[in-house]
Amino acid sequence: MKTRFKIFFLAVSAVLFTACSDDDNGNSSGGDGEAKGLFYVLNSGDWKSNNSSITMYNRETGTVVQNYFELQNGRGLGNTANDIIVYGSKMYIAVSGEGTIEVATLDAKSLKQIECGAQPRYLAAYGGKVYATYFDGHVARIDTASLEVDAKVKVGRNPEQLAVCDGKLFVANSGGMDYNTEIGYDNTVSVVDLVSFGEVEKIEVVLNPANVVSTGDGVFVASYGNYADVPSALQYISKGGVQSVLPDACKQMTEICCNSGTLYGFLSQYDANWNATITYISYNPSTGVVDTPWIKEEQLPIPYKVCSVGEYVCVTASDYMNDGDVYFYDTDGMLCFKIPAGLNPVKAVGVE
Amino acid sequence: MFRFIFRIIVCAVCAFLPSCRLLAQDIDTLQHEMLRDVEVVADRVPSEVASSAPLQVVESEEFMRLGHVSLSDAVKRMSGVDVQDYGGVGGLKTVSVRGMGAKHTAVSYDGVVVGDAQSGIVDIGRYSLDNISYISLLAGQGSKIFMTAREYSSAGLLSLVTRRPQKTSLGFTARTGSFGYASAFLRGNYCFSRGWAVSLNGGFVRSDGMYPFTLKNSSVSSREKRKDGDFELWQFEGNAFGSLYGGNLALKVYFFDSERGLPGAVNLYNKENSERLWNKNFFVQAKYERKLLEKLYFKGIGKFDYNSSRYVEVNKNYASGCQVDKNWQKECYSSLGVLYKASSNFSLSFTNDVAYTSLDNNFVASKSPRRLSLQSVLAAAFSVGRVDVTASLLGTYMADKISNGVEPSPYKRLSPALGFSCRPFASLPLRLRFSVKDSYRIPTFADLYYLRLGNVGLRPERATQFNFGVTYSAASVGVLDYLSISVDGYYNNVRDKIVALPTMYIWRMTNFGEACMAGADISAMAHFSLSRNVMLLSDVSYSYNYAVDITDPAARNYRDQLPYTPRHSGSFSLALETPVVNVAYILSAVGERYMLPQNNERNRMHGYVEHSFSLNKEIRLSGARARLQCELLNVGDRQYEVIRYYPMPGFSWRFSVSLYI
Repeated sequence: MKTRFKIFFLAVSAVLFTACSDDDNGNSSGGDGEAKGLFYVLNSGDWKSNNSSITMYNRETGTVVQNYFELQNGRGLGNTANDIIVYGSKMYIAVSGEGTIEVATLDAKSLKQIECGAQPRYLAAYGGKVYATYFDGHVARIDTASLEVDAKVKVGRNPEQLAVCDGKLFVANSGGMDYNTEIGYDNTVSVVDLVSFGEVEKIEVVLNPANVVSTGDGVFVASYGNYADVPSALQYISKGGVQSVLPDACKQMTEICCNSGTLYGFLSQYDANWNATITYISYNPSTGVVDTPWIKEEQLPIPYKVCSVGEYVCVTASDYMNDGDVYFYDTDGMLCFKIPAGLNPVKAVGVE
Repeated sequence: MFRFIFRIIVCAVCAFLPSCRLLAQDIDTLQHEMLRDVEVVADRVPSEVASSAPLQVVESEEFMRLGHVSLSDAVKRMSGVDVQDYGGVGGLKTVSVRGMGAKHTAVSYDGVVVGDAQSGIVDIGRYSLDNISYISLLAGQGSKIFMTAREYSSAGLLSLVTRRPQKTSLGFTARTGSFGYASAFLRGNYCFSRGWAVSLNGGFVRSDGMYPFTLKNSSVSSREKRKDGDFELWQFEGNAFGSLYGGNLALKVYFFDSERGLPGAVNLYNKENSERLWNKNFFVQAKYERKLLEKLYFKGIGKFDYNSSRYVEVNKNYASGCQVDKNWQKECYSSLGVLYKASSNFSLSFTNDVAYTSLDNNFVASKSPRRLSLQSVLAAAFSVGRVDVTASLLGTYMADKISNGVEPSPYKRLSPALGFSCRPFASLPLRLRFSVKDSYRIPTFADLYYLRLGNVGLRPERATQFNFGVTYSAASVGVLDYLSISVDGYYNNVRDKIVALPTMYIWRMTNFGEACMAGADISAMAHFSLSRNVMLLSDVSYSYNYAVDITDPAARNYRDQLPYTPRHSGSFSLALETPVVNVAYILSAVGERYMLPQNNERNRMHGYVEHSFSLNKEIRLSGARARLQCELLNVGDRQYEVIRYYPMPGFSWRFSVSLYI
């Protein structure tokens, strides 16, 4: 039964990739591309501690090298790197605390440090361009040949994740910086047309949206709510508009990634004393199948973030005090390997 | 000419006389100690050697001798103390005793604990030593029993005692120094005929805070300049002392106003930071002490305290282009206590503290907490032969009211403590001491209610301290005029630590973790006369602190040294007093530390040694005195950080002129 589902998923995802890919140049971190043996983990480090780093892992030789960016360049990434993507023959790293985007070769050798004049948060790539959300309410477009920001578009307040779907960019406007003022959180997703590079629509979602992933024919948007009376919520935006009717098990899920058209992630729930209960949930929007927990191992990591790397679904684990680990699972939820990473690993990518 | 030299000698001798008085006190016995408790008239300098728990006292003579200007200069030299310094004149400076954390150290100002109900942290950087008579630091259960319940409640107690006017006088001090540093203080004392006296003092401190530093980014080093570290404070204090209905009354009015830039941690690339902080503090306090009956003494304290802060960050990430946080804290506090001195070797005290504290801020959905604290302490001191023992039991009840949301259940705790001190040989000025103390810190308003971060389910953080020590002090040992040595070993345990931990979405305060500290503090002080009027005074201290996390054996930081807690630290000072000029040299050394809980190479911070010199000279003019002082700080221009990426200034100088009439 399960195998049959898997085959079906693969068939669907194959169609989706051709329809809606993040990347037309080859490798990408966005769930497509073939990660063979070289992986990088981005560790955001501690806030204001200038200890963001990259862990390099060569699966063929089993080599793990910490602080790889620093070793390659003789200088560090700086304060709070937030996102990394591999696109074409380059990797892009958004370093929020420094207001920089580091462009490097696939061997982490710096090609350029782009000074943003704002805090870059997340990255996405499409059609020879890299897009970055700026926390001051913009999306910047970087030309991958000149490595210059060639245009900026105004979106909502404090945008976080962004995803490309159907030639459009979907940007989660969190408004998180105004949580304690009258203005409050934002509750919109900006839709940016990539041809005109202008905002064409603002779709209203649940308060404080942060994470967006594209499945191919739509995007999932996870909102954190206000951590009080408005709970977190997962919503699905497709051509028909916002679809809030998701299976009960996943309607509050916040940490999400998409692999082969299926959503993988987890939900943390807290009791009055802030003891966490973690539930690993996967959901396939086209079949409606929910799998909990999708990790089929006995030991479940304490998760920090999830991401999709090639055929793997990765869970980064962190206790915010010590160096963390990144667990690589296959889409059946079996642990394939684990990388010892740096402090607060946020994302992994794979390159040829 | 002869007369001039003679005057200088007289002057030097006069300057030395108070310390002679101190020496006599240091070698006192229990009798004296018991007496001190009933000596409610004036604050006498407590004895270090006779204390049942480690007590370090630094008097104004020593500040003068070593050229200390700010409180943190003096506290840094104490043993077993870590001063966390964010750099520059305006940088936050907090005190942690024996690795237990800054929130376990209370700071008292003339017998009243000052605090910040919101953060629980006291910035000692705001206190100058200009009007301070002496400071003391107590770790554990001391020998003095007649204290407020608040003074009992913390693991460590840093006390500041201001000068009491002795005669009508006027004093003025002006300073200048590196990085736009300037300060001026004016002090006037007036003594009335019938025992009443008033003193008024006030002044300002300012600094540009633009000091150069070296930023190391892996293999690249660059020379940078600290920006946005400007600081300005104004301070005014008025005191009145007198007798009323057979007792002694002390009144105080205090006003403090400061503005500073917050330079923040240095980033590797982006140097823009635009945060500023304004603080205002106003308080009035009254203290009344009186003998009620034969053997029965009363002490009462009342205080009203107002604190406000305004924080502004200009940043285009905010919808309005900036974030403005305003906080207002008010507190009414009273402490009423009685001391019953049953006999020359038994006394009993009971003190009751009541406080009502409020916090308001401009946040949306602010909880506006109000806290009622009731604290009572029953303490006893008794002596048998050459042994003296103090025991106390502190009871705490704290209840909070908030304008919206779930209130935490009231905090109730009983904390016992025991102190023991003995002089085993009548002929030898050697004392053994032992103390054990249970203490706690109640979650602060920020811990409980800060937007998103706060957690009303928090329990108090608990600490237990054990100390065993030996002290020796003698007025004349071989060629030395004075020698005192103390060696203490300790074990502390801190449980249910209140820390911010990330939940899935945001940081939350939680009770997490346990730490223990085992260590030793060794200090020695010696005075030596080179000739009749040339004196060499030296002190040296060394601290060893094995302070580790023992929360989870499976965690990578299990048994790793706590962040920002050096395992080895020490200080040395040498002062040469001559009729021509007084010279002092100070060395402070701090061993390697870690910036984060995990003790790996990346988190390691190198140790450092800082050398400073001070020269001073006092000139007696007709009816007036003038004092000139020059300090050369960090003469090796050592580039270091106490807190990672908060660089400390390299070499700097200060010059002071004081006039007293």
